Amino acid sequence: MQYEAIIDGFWMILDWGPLAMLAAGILIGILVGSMPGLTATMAIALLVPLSYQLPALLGIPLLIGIYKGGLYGGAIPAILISTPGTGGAAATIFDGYPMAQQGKARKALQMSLVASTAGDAISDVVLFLFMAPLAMVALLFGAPEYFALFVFSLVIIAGVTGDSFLKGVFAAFLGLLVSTIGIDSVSGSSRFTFGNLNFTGGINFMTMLIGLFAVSEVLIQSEKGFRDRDRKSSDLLGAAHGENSLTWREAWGMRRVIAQSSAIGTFIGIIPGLGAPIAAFLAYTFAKRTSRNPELFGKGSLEGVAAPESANNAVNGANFLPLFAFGIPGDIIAAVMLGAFVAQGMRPGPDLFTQHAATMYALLWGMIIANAMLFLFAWFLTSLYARIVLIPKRILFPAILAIATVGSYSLNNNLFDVKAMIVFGIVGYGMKKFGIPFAPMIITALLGRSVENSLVQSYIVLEGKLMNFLSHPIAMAFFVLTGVVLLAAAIGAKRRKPGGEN
Amino acid sequence: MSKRLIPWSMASLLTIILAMSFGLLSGLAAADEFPSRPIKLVIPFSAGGSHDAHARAIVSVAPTYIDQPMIVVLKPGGTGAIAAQFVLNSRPDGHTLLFGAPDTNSLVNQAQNLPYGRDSFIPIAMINYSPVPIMARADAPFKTFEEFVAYAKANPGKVRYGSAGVWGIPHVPFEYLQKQLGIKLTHVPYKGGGPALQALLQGEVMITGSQVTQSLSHINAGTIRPLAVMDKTRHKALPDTPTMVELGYPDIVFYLWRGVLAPKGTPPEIVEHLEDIFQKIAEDKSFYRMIRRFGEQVIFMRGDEFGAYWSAEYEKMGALIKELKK
Repeated sequence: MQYEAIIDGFWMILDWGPLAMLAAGILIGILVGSMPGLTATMAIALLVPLSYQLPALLGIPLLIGIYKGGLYGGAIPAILISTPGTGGAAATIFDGYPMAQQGKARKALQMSLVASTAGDAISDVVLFLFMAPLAMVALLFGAPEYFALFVFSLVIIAGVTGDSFLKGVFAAFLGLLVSTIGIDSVSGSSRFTFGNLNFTGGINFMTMLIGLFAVSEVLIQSEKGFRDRDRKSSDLLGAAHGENSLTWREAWGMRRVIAQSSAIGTFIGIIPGLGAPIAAFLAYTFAKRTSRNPELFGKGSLEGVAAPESANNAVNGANFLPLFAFGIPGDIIAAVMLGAFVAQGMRPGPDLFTQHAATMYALLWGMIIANAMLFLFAWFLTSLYARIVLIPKRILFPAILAIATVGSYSLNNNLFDVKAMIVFGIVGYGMKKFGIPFAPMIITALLGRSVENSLVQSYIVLEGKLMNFLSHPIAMAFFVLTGVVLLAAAIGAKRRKPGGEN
Repeated sequence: MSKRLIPWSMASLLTIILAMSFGLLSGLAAADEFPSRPIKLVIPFSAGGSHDAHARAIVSVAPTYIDQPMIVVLKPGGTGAIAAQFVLNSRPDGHTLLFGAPDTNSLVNQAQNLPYGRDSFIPIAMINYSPVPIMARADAPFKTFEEFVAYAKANPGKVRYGSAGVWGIPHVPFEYLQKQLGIKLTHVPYKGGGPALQALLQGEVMITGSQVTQSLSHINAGTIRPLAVMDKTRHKALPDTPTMVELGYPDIVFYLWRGVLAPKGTPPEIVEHLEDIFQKIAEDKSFYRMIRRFGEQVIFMRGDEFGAYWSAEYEKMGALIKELKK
């Protein structure tokens, strides 16, 4: 442990300049993250050139702040208007939006904040203390391990169905269908592109999410004519703030879920190429399976908000690990950070902590301080944001449609994305009417390509012999876990049948 | 019920129309001044490879020479075919550029008869080119190029190499190498230099063609060992690594170039303007320093010169691919 560098770094970050940059970044991040279609990635990409002109301890904290603020910010529209602000916030909608509908919007936002901050803090501390050994974990993952992990994720998440296993499988197949669209990475052949260049890159994930969640909700609400009935503002905001505020006891009661979800998020973050959405869905699924009240999930369970939010923020800190250790960015944001480091003359890789130890520790301290700042700022903002539920539905929902449209368009300046969004909106509407769950579809759409690629790579690496999987203990462990989950689900289903289940 | 329905449907309809018209209007609002909005530099590979790193350096210096930000957009997949299609599909007004490579622009398109060729893009500026190296894990059972060849001959198919994409670099050079040397390796395709490097570090493959850009710190740390470079002269960052010419294979010479391309149809004035901008960037001192830190050089070629280089290479690669496919 480089004690001197750690202490030096601490004092380096505690300066007006870096702290101001952290604060500014967090505010920008929350703002940008809460606008659907404006992602933190875009904000960082636009501000990165600015960061180049500034010294490392001013420029990089700005980007770190945006990243953290953005990840929390994505939960805000997810909870309030059923529109994910970032990909990682999609799972938050399942319970966050019902909570808002029940007049507990502010509580949901607060829970999300507490969970996000906790997840962030946990993964940052882990990064700080255990970087070297954990870097080795990242190195343990080759194609067979990725494949096994993907299979495990697919099975476990697709298994989180409402009532019918069949409906979940149907949703999963829909997602797989979506994931096949585009040019295949391995063979270079075009699939389902219909000669239209727009299809070659596949369907944009955010477009699909915005369509599935936001547009479908607009359509659902339109059935009731957007009438508000006679809901008083007290109903919408939880009876004079009595029910609508997160209590200490409630927050403390979430500690197991948060710890578990943060662990999942940290683990997913360490392995390059995975990302926040996977972490969020996995955490949500685990939370539901290990919960004492699984039937509440999807109807406004506090755990259902805490789990994905702590996981998606935990990915944040851990994502820097492969970047710092090997110079291999775990995801796009880390890649942008890579550029910022490069521009500052710091070349990520094994040299980073030997040549620039103090600066690196300063940045790590900055990440921890940023968590505290995020909590302070956002706590006061929750009351403000929560008032959005007071807007009459007949104004709110058309506005949501407009925001969704502009958001989808702004992803690529391409009307194609808007058309795709509308299609998914209709699909989502149909799914809601027939009670087909979203989660399996989202996760297979996200992972479909990766599963296929890793399978092809595994085939090559294992020399075409299935038996060779046995020499990969980590992969086997995931397969065994998958089997256990399937078995448990089958037994559970059998047990429910005699009772005349739903 | 019907009395209520009409107001919201009208409101929604109007809102939708308004929202869509914003989209159209933003297109019409294109100003005469170039650039009028952020410039996108599209990278055909995953994060962490040499194109990614070079692009980050470019955009870091760009603000000195342009008023609008230049941002890096990653569009990996299909050995760059996805990125190429994306750029070709965008408006040719100079705001969407491809940071091209032989993989995408000379190899995979010819190998798979993709619908774009030499004339689909206008060469703006080449930033540099680097030879294809042969990088091995330090703990591989061979320490020199000769040992590697001997080992590969004795164990056909046992040595796995990671590429950055099918029909890209180093896939094509390594296939050519196998043919010339009479050895058999096993190819594992990845989605770019970053993932391929990760596989090398992880141990899934024994060798890659990873660029010096991303390998240098690992070479210094002793986890990766360069065996040879496919060049005529030694690489400045790897003074102890022999070239293929020295090793007796003068025709196994391959370069990975990194150049900015604009889609066909970009107006000549804008092309000229872009060439000026990138020339300034390439001549910028801090840019030079960043590239040197990667272990690379800046080898700038402006529009036409770059075009001539590319055309010659395009022909050569076309012939090579035909031969490999026999």
